[in-house]
Amino acid sequence: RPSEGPELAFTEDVLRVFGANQSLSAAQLGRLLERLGAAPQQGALELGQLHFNQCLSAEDIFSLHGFSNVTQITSSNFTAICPAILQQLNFHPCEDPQKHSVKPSFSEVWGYGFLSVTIINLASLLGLILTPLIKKSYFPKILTYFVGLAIGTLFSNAIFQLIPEAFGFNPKIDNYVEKAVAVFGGFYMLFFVERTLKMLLKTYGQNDHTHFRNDDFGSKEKAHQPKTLPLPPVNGVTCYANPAVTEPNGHIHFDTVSVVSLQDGKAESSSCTCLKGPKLSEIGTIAWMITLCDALHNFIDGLAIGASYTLSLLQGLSTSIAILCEEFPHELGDFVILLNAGMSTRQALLFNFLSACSCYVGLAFGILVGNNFAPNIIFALAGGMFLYISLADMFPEMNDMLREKVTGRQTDFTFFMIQNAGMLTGFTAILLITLYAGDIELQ
Amino acid sequence: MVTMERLHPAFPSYLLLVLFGIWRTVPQIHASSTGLLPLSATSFLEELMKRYGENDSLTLPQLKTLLNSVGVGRDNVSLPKEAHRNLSTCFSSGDLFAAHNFSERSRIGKSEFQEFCPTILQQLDSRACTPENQENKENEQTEEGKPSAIEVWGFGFLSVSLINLASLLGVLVLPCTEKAFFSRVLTYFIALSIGTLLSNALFQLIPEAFGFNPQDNYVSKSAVVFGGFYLFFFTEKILKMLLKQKNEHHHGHNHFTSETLPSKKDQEEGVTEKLQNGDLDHMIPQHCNNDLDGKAPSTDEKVIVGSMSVQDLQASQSACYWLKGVRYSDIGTLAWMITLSDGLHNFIDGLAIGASFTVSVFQGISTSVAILCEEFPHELGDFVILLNAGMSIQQALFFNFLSACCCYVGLAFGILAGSHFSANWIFALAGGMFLYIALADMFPEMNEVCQEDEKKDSFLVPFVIQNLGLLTGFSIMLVLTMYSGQIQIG
Repeated sequence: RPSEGPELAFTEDVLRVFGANQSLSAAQLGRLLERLGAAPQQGALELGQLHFNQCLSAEDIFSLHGFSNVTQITSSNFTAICPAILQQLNFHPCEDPQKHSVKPSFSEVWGYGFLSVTIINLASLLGLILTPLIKKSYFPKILTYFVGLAIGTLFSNAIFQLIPEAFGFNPKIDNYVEKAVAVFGGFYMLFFVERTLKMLLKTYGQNDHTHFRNDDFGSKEKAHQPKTLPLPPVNGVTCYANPAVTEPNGHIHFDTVSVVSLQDGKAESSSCTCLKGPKLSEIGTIAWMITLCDALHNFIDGLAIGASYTLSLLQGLSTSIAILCEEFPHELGDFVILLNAGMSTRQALLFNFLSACSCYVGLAFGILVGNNFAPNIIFALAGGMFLYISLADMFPEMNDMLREKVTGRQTDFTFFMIQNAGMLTGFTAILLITLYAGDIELQ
Repeated sequence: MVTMERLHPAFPSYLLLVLFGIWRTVPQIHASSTGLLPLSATSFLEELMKRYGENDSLTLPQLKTLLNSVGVGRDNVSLPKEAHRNLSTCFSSGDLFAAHNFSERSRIGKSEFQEFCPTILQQLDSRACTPENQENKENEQTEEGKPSAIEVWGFGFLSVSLINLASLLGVLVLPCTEKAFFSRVLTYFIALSIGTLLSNALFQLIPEAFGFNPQDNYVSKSAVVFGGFYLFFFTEKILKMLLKQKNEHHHGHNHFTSETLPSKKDQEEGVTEKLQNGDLDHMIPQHCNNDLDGKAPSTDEKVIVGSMSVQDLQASQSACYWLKGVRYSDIGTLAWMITLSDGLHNFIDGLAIGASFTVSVFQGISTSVAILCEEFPHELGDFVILLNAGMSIQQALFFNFLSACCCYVGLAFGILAGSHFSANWIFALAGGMFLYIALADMFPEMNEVCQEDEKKDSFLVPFVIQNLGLLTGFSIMLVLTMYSGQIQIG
């Protein structure tokens, strides 16, 4: 029978890999079962209750076939036990309990999702508590740190969790986590070198330019009023609010603005009324701009949180942490802008909270879509959105924030270190959550 | 033929082994029947037969159904050209049947199934048919299609040379630097580069780093990731456009009531920042404003720069020389800033190109296309900035070419690293770098180039140009990725 040669090769391959001398012992068969995913988690089950839903160990299979534990399986009798292995694989008796234990229940998904969103939305009320700090000289540094933290968490969450989840990866595969670290490394290395390069060259150029530009500026000042430079954007959304907000108050950047008290607010309101017409329309325009853009952000955040919680509690928690880090500087910046637009403290809080509530709507959508369809689509969408928010929106904001503050190499270096601390903190937080996703057991 | 030759001498031994096995098994079966579990040993087989077959036997289609349920015997998998047998080969169900001499009308009984069973188990164990774990298969395919060293260096050098020609295109485009037209062309190319870099990172570099092989399922997921980015970009732009129109009235008021002078430092650092980002719109007007203000002072009206010819450049050059004193130090600072920053970009580009070519010629070409799209607006912007800084055309070309040559250094590093280590690490690094360049560097640049246009006339034109660029870049990389399996190059 020469044609039977290829058929024997399959058996020989298995015996060669898992056994020795063309035979398998009970322990080696156990290793084979474990590799194929058919190994049981608990001890052996009763033999008398055998049917296809039972999860069997290697010793069980041996005894059922009349082999003792010391028997060596050879090519000929391997065919006798092979259907047992295949049956275990085909009906997955060893996998079902795990699936049930991993997936959170319906009430857990909604409960934890709602709780996370509520905690995140409290960030919109933190502006009230931190109002006295805004006047302090160290406020820009604190805000810079939190913006860097937001960039680190959003980018890392996209690279470590959302995009791999969309591709169908499991975080337990170490090889993928290391590659994701390298992706962040590529991003960070470029940021670090470029920023250092700018710091060194800009300071030198500044010294050189300052001297001659002073003369130019002096001559220009005598001739006519200088042209106003475009104002730096904030969050990439409120850049158009800055001209209306800051110039009448005589300030360039929201970092340096002072918070108006109730009395000053009234005076400012009358002044605005005289210059710009109805107060309501002006405040309304700015408020709606910030509210709508912020609501868009929050809706998508809720979408990602909801879909993550349908997958596992830890996944939802990780996404919530990333969003919480992003939400804090975001809402705080909006709050300050609303105050400087002439709003009272209550009005600013109301509009901020209004936009934050769209996160609940996104949460509901995320949970419903996550339960009824494959959540991978939501993870892919959220991954792209997080990349955009972290790199295209918040990154320019972090850089523009410093233009007014940096007065020399020393100050530039200080803010650079704060940026690094924020980004690396965010990166480390998400990395640790991803690495220990398999070890952490929630509930 | 080879198999028959190998097995012929062993045939008698094999026959004896089979007979010995049968003889040895019979007593055990007999002993089992006298125990408490007379049918236990065969219950597994009976259950499989009951579920997939009938009357204790399986037809070939029924056996194929069983194979599909456990994930082996995929018919869509094409065999390697050299059909040698090893652990990582994924056979089709037809091949598996042929190895066991099953025909279309065979009926597989208990004994036949027991003989066939190790085949299924081996395919499962090797995981050759599992999509998520096709690294072994991918490595095998890669080795077969891996280009030779001559191809790698040759194609790599050729690609980098073509890309570096972009640094010389500034001369050709110089007559076209009429401001309104130029800013829109530049906007389109910047958006194109953002689309290609982002898509290349999502479609090729990051999946390659994670160990994926291009398949429909993963390509669609990457497309959705880009969709997430694009949906956000689109919606935010629309919101800005709609809400900004409401604010137009306020802008008018602000203009007339503005009494605040921008600080000197803020103005200067803004200029430096824009130089770094290669922002042309703010550089050209300011420079010419200074020039014209010195000669004929004007009031609040903004001076619009006319077309810039070589003659105008020479005139402005002498003017700058007079205004700024020591010409060399000024040019030196600016030139070094652009050269070093651009050199860093080009080194990383070369690194990605080199590593890509070590994987396959097609992969290298795909990465080169993305980098070429990014290089053109980049070098063009640098070239114009250098000219406005007072350099001559020869000087600007020289410095631009100097930074472009860093790409060759990166190419060499990429090829060497890709050959000695796993290329996946370079892909991961390059993926992160491309994300940074696309979103953190070029995206703000695109917005700033458009700001001037948006203030002057409609908001729609720059927005449409941005969209065209982004979607063009996305489409190019999508097509390259989807047909990467079908296009055979080299």
